Amino acid sequence: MSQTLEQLNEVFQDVFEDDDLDVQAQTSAKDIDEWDSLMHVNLILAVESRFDVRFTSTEVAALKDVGELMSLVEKKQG
Amino acid sequence: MSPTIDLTTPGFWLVTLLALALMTPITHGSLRRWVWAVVNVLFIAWMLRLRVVEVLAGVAVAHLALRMLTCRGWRGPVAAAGFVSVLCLFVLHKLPGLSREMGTGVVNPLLLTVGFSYVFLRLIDAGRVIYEGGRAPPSLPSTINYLLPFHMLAAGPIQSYEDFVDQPAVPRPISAVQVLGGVERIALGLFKKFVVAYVIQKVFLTDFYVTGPYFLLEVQMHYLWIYLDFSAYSDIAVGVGRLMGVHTPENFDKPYVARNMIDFWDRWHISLSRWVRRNLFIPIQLGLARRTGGKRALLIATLAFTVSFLLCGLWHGISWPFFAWGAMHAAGLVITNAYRHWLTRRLGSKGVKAYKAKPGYRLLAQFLTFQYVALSLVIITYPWKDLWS
Repeated sequence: MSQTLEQLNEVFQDVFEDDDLDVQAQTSAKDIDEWDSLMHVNLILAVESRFDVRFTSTEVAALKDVGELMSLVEKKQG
Repeated sequence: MSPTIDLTTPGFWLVTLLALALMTPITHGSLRRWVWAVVNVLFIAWMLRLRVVEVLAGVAVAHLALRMLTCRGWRGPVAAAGFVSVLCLFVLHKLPGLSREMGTGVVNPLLLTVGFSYVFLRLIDAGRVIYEGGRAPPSLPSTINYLLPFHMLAAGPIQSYEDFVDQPAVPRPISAVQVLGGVERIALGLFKKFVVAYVIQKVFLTDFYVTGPYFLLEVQMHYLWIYLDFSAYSDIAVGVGRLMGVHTPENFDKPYVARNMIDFWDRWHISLSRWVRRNLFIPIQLGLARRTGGKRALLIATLAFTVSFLLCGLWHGISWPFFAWGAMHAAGLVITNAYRHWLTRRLGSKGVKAYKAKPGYRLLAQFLTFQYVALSLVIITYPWKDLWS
C-alpha cells in the first residue's frame, strides 16, 4: 500500500467513523454506504486538511474513486 | 403557438436520418465534428423558426466568451458579465408573458436560443469547468455540438462538459448488436410515450378535477405518467445517440423504488441532479465549509440543499408552484439527511446497515418516498386558479 493510500485510509476511517474500513484504489462510493454527496464534501475537506492541498469544485465533483483521489493528491503535492 | 423542439415530430426523425446518413461513414474526427455541427445548427434554426445567421450569432458570442475564460486579466470580468447576461436572458425567457412582450427584433432569437433551458445549463457547466481549468475551451464546432445537440435539447439529458470533451473524436464502429440495441431503446421510448403513458393519461387523468379515493388514485397515476412520458424522451435520445456514436448519458434508474429523497435524486433526471451537484451543491457546500473550518456540517448541507433545490425549482419555471415544488424537494432532502445523521449517531455505521437491510423498513421507506414525490408533482399541475374561482 502506498504512503498516500495509507494516509487516505486513515482519513476515510475518521470521516466514516469506521476503524475496520480498508480502502483500495478501486473503492468508490458504491462500496461505502455512507459515502454520499454530503459525506463527499466532508471527506474532501478532511483530505485537504490532512495533505495541505486545495481542490476546485470541478475536481471535487469529478472524482469517481479512491484511485483518482490519490492521483489528484499526489499531483497537487507535486 | 410558440416554436418548440419535440422529439416526436417528423422533423426530428428526418434530421436523425440525415445525421445518421452523413455522420456514420466519416472516420475523420474534425470533419465529423463539423458535419455534426451543421446538422445541429440547421435543426435548431428549423425547429425554432430562426435564421441560420441568428443561431450562429448566438453561438459565436457564447464561443468567444468561453474562450476568453482562459485569458489572464479577462477571465474574471468575462465570467461575471457572461453569467449575469445569460441569467438575465434565461429569466426573461422563463417569466410568463414577459418574453412575449419583450421578444421582438434581436431579443427574440437570443431568448429562444440562449434562454432555452438546457442550453443555459450547458453554458454554465462549460463556463465553470473552463474557468477552473478543468478542461480547455472548445473549438467552434465543439461549442455548437456541446450547446446544441439536437437529440438532447427537448428534454435532456444534460451532458457534463468534461464528459463531452473526454469522448473520442471518432467513435468505435458500431456493431449490428449495438444498432439493434439503439433501435430497441428508441422503440421502448415510443412505446412508453405513445402506448403506456397515453393509456394512463386517457383512462386515469382528469387534471385533478376529482375528489375522494379517486383523487388519491390519480395522484399515483399522475406520477407514473410523468415518469413514463419523461423517461420515454430520454430513451429516444439515448437510442439516437447510440446509433450516431454520440455519447448520451442515462437519465433514469427506476426512481419509483427510491427509498428516500437522496436516493430518488440519484435515480430521477440523473443528469439534472448531477448538474445541480456539480454547479450548485458542491460549490455552495465547499465554500461554506471552508469558511467555517468544516464545523456545522449539517447546517451547511441544509443551506446547500435548500438553495440548490429552490433554484432547481425556479429553473423549471418561474412561478409559485415550481418554487413550492423546489421547497418540497429541498425539505425532503434535508429531512432525509438529518434523519440519517441521527440514525448513524444512535445505531452506529453497522447498526444502520442492519436496519436498512430489513425488508419491512425498505418497503415502508419506498412507499413514503413514492407518495412524497407524487404529492410534489401534484403541486405543479393542480388547477389552483379553478380552486379559487
